[in-house]
Amino acid sequence: MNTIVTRFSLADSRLASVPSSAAHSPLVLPVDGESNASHTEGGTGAISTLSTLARQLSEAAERAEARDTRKVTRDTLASEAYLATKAQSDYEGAELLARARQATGFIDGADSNPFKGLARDQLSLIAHDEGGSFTINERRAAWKELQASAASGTANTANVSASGREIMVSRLFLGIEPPVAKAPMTMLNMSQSAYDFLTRDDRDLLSQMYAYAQAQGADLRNVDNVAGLLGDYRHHNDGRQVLNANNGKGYDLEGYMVTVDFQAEDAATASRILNGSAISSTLVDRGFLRHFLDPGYGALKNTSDLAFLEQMVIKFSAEGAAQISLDRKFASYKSISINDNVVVTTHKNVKLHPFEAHVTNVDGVWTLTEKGKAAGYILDKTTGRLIEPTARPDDQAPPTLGRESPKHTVMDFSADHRDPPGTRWLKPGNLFKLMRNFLS
Amino acid sequence: MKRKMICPCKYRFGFLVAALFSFNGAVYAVDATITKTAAPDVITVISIGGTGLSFFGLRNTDFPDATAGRSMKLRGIEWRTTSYPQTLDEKVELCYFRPFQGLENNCRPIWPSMSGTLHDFDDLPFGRGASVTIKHHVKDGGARLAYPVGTDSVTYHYSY
Repeated sequence: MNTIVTRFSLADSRLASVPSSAAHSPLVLPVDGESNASHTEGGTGAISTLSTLARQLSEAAERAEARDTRKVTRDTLASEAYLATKAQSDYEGAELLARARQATGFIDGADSNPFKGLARDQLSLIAHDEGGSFTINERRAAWKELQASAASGTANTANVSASGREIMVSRLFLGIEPPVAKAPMTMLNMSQSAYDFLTRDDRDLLSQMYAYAQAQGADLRNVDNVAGLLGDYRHHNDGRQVLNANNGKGYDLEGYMVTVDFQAEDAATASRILNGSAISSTLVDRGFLRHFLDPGYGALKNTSDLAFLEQMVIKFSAEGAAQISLDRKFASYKSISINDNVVVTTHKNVKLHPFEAHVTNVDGVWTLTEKGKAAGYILDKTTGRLIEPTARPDDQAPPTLGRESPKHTVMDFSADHRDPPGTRWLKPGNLFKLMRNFLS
Repeated sequence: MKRKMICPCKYRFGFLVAALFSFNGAVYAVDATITKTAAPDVITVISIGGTGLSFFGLRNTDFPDATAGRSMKLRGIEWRTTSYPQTLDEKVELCYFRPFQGLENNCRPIWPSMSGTLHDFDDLPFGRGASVTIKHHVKDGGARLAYPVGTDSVTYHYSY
């Protein structure tokens, strides 16, 4: 079998040609009593006639578009324009400060949400904007408002949300919600439940998923599965501790390179999620989606199908309102063994030579291999030390000493030749003797 | 015009020191393996699942005496895994810990009841104190206690 190229790679931007609905949505300026729309500065150019928030949203939209299209230049220009305009108005600075304080107060439970009433696409822009226009607490406030509106399609948001939280705490934490555990994964926390590493935002979102799934009559194990995958991603320091199984460093015991992929149906689903418009506004962590939907990371962790995850990505996005009900197939949970759910490709044209040892230690028992015997070694079975009977004593350097033989140079040795052991007399231990002889 | 002559013999010590530093001692004459076998934990499976670990740490006695103070190079990690047949959704990963670094590790997803060789960690420090942990995570399949059907094993391929 010849090499099969991995079906897709996430190293390149899969969103490059996909328009983002959030990024391209026309901005609707707030017209209520919020301060954002009421202060204009006539005669200072078109941009100054917009409210501070509207301009920030516009810039955030541009950054979102730049993120999707990887047009870094536009992003930079937007930032420069923002900074230049920001410096023109002390009033705007005060307004920004006031809103940032209100957002902090909201997060602390002491104030109202400054973004209450904004459209979902605008909230999504703020929550995901990393351009520096919004403070972390402002982004969190927007995220909270986005979550509050995500379940607005149901009859009673507050009740459903509370119910969802109870379900989440019951199913993931056995009734007592622990604090968020800290990544990375270490020797000490390897056995800890991956759910413990879910962030507060993750838990809020999963609560809504449970509420929605329950209302739709879905098997809640579908949500458990999403929670487990997300928790595993958090446990591994947002995936940074996980190595890609398709990095060309995995082989079978015969020495052939092996790669993995999703089943065809899941590969298509992964492609739809990553290339769809919902990903630009979904509440599901996009870093997680890009990580898990890369088959090198996700194929060996996928014990169901990806259809439910796709439904959640859409439902909790700006397009969620269009998704009224879940497919009936989610009334049950489909568990599939990893070994049955992964496509393994053995690359017969990429083979490593088998590693042949001179000596082995199997559970504490030393054995001299045929290769070791052929090389003339004798094994001390107590210490595992290999004795080379034909080896020259350390104090008797061979006559060549690396001078007369053109092959015996330092560079030759550092090239790690696989010479027979009998010819490889130069070792770090006697290199100093070589120096002494050379200098004398 | 006076021309300064450079006598190579005057600098031979410098040449040797430079050669020593560029040499970095990386001459590996012997290829060796260390194989360790262990059964992963019996897992108490609760509704949120459970985790079973098998640990393969390297101690002084796992290496030949002759390797003391010598540079060693990892050449690959061969693995064989068992599985927990009474459970659902079993996922397995292999994590490599550098010598005496219980906090720093990298993991790679592998399969239950399978085998293979990884070269992901070949460029990382290796020697006494290094370790591999194989982690099995399972979900509730109906049994309160889940037993591994066999053992996990790891073979370190290295040179010194």
